[in-house]
Amino acid sequence: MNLFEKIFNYQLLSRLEDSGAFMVTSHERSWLKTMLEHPAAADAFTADTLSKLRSVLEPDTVMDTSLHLIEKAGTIERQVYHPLLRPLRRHIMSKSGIRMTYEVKNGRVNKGHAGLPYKLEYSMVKREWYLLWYHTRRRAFMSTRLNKIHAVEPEPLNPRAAESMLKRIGNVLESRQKEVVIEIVRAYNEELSRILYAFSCFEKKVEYAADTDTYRVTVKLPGDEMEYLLSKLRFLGKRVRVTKGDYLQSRLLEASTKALERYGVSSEG
Amino acid sequence: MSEDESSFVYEITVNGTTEIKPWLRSFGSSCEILEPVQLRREMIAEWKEIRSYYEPVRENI
Repeated sequence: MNLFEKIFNYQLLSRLEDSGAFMVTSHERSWLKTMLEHPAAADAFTADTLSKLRSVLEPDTVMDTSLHLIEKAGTIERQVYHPLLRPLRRHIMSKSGIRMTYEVKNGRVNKGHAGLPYKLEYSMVKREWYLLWYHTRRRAFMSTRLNKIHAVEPEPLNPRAAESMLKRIGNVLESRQKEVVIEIVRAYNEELSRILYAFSCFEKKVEYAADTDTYRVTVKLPGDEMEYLLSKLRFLGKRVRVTKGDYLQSRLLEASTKALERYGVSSEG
Repeated sequence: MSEDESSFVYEITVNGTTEIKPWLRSFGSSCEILEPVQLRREMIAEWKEIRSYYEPVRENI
């Protein structure tokens, strides 16, 4: 592609973006059509949207993966789309309060507790959706599995009260964030996209220092997600080095020392 | 495959060892590669490299 073509393409794409239109390839369309056959599709879209999508995709072919793909040792698909996702997302967007009945650990049920929902989170470890919300009376930060919610209704909340509550929640959550800096060992720069893929579910910033030809990834995460990041770092092995983050550094030193002991290599080796 | 109370030996047939290395590393010190010797050596070298990243600098005495 020459330079003029590139500029033209860029102009075309940005104009499409401005008009709210986006382009999809025929592959993406047939993939979407295949996905719409999944039983969870009925929960993921309103009946209207679903029938509209189906009629738009009418001329496309369904992707037949059975010819080319055999899935082995897959994990059990417990939840693809939870029916509560859509209503809860609406409540969060409209900054509405909620009244909720939900099950807690020992099987007890909390009836009609009031709160303010602020985030829907998918746990990569548990493979399930969670609602993060603020318990108004207890002034506590809650995390409830969508599967444990028996009933939830919106409850009007004074917009100014909601704003100030959300601001307070934001401040507390911000103060719980930890910052970790990971440097990509230069010899593995070629594997950059693969390495970044391992960090894809984290909030991060990537910087490139041209003078040293080094990529640095700054990850911001809540303290309780450190173990998950650690498993990613072990997965990547010598490709990356933690340059900021005492806890991760000490855990990686511990893991490597213990592993070498197992292989009969002393710390002097 | 053999097993006792604290450990078990796991045998797996793979097309190549490159793709399985990250998975094995993710077990940390809870897993040891017995054979092939080449993969065992590679894993030792890799752990040494990782340790060198985090080892406190030793002063010359």
